Amino acid sequence: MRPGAQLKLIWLLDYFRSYPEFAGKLKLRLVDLEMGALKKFGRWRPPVVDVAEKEFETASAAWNAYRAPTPEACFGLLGMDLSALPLLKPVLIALLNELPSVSTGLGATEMRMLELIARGYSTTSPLFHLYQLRQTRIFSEWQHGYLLDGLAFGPNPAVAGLDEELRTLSREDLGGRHPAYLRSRLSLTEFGKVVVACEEDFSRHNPIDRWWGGTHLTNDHLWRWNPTLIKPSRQQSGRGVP
Amino acid sequence: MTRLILTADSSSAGCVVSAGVADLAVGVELRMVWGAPRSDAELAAFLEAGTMHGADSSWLYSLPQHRRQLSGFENLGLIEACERCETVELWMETEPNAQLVLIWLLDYLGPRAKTLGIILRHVDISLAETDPKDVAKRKFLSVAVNNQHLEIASLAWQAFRASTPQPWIDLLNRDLSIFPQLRRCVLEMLEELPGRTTGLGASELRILELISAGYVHPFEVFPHFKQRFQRRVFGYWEAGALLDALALATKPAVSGLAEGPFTLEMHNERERYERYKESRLSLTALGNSILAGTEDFSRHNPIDRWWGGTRLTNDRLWRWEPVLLVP
Repeated sequence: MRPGAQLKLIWLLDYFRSYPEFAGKLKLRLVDLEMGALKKFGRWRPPVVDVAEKEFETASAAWNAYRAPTPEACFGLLGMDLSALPLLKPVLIALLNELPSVSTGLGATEMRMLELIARGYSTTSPLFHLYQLRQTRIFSEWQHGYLLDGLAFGPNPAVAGLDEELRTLSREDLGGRHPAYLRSRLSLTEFGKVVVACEEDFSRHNPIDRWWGGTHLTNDHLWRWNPTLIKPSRQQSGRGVP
Repeated sequence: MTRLILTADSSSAGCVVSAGVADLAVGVELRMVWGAPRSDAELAAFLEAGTMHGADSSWLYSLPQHRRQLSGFENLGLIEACERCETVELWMETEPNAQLVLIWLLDYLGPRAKTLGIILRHVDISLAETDPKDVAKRKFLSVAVNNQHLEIASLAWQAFRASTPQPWIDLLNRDLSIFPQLRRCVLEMLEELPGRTTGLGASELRILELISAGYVHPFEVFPHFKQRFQRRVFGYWEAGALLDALALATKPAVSGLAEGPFTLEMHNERERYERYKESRLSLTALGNSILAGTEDFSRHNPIDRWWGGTRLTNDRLWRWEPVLLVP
């Protein structure tokens, strides 16, 4: 159900597809709750489906789309029937929401962190761990940290108060990074406030260099995501109910 | 003197009373996400009335009568009741309907929210699903309602009530952080507008996806399975109406629904209810084509529903679409 789990699912199904001798044995359980939160399984038996061509096709299409050098194929999947893997489309939408937005140049999680810091959430714990508060679910604790680094350590930071040691600690030094995040007391800079008000584009003032699936997002290669409204048209009224 | 907490539903209200953080809690249970918009006068009457004549008649409706009497609130309007309380707090959860109730209440109260000393709590859990003992221990951030709250609440409420969704999508270009869950609410409501190719909102499309995935009984495709359903806008009765509209349409997208419509009467008639529950759903050819992105439900069926203050009909179908912008 988690995004990471759905991505692993499509990767594994894509892999097994090349091994017909195993592929025929595969069954998929539609797990739509947090198994880790279950004290015991009891009578809970998630629905089971045989993995057949429809499941393999959906998985391969999604896995290849996710690894492509642009998000276009993932975007194209939104218009397709992905119900063979019923938890995949919500994950795909959540992933696409993490592309930079048109107005701010920030993904959904980055914007959420700025909004929450603006409201007085000054420590990293609620930003990293409280899903219900954040309402974005793509990234892990450490990935939230890297996003926060990007917001705080660029030439025009949006966030102040992130512990300076994080500038030099390597990304692999989790033991060192953890206390540094805990020590941080965050607030928005003046620039951060303008970004939260959607009046400035973070990416116009800071380097962007992150991966979204197979897409390398940089300032010169910034795919963006934007919800738009389509007004009713004459053409539409003409093709109304038969 | 009383500590009063207002929530957006009665089960959350029950939880905060059990947690001991309020002497009295009232669930203001209007469903803003569904149905024709109520007029300003109707909404004001709802908050001013202490007497009841049906579920939508008074803000106190969800409070059992003995509690109304005990509290001394019987026959009181919201503002009078707030004046009699020592503290008044708004505990609105993260779901879109609760956020809409929040902005409506603040728009209604206006500057009186400040003079009444109303406190806003940023509640980030589902109260009804949390052990009251844990709720008692949680320290949600709180803030006294100020002018910025009133400004954004009023702006957002007027946008929701407008006759087109344009002012609502324009909110995405504003600083909404004063209400940390409002931006999410704006997006989730937009997603319930008809999609460009399908003509269906996100929840309707989700129902089709789940049926296609093999969930065959009606209640298996309802939003109370939160993790499965993934959409937070509509509740039980609304989902029943959505499924009715998909299955009992001129040209249905779903077949196999053995009873309907999804009303209280149907629930009260055991045989009908059982027949409904045991229905075995599947997608029609149209349903499959909609999921595949090659057909539009609204081209084959009449549409007439409300989205905030916008009336959606076949001739006036505002649609929503995410767009990917090439660098």
